[in-house]
Amino acid sequence: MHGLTALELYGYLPSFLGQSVDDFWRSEFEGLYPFIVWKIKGDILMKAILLNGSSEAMPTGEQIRTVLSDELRRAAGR
Amino acid sequence: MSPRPRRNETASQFTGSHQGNGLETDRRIRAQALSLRAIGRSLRITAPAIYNYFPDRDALVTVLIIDAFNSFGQALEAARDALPKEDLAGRFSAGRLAYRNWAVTHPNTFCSSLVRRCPGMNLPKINWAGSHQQLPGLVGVLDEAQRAGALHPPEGYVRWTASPAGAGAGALRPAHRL
Repeated sequence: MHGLTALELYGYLPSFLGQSVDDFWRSEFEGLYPFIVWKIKGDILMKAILLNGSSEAMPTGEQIRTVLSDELRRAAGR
Repeated sequence: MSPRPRRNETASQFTGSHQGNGLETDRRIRAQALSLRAIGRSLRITAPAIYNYFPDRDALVTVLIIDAFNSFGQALEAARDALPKEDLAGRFSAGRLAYRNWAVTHPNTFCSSLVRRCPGMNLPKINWAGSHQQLPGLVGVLDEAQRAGALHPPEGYVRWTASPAGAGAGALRPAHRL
């Protein structure tokens, strides 16, 4: 990939695949499509779960979007 | 049961790759985690005889895992190529589904080659040169999509600026650079 990080890719994939953010992450979360970048996925999902205030509930697409945006902003600022 | 390998036969006799789908290799990867005796039994040779073909256990395990992982790459590519080249999202999704199906049907290989921290399996550090390690079947589709301008952030995300190589290094960097 040309300069695209795995973190950025996770932001791009839902629209590329024609899925909503919720549907994309639900499929990732439920292991329907185990993807490549385990650490990134785990970090994002864990932070979104914490944001959701539960250790079990599936975070919403909006919460994942918030976490992803924050992480990307931090990465871009480094 | 597989025919007993002769001393002058190649390491491929151990991998089961000639059987096409990697399932036998997957079983052998699990078997080696239990004992060399188990894998020797599947080949109708004694465990010490394995050392006629490999210098040590790690060399055998490395061959098994790389062989099985190559069959993984081939499965992804076959799924991808079943769809037309212009259907980039379809090709990527087909590859993802193949990825999942392969992981489910080859749990030992999947664990040992992608997760690499498998309970009960003492795995060697593997040199992946020449293997399908970077999943070219999937990454290649994304590469094409990026060149075609089909990858873009959805509404509601921050607008990312192109960052120089190495920017953002640290905890957020992926283990696998794409």
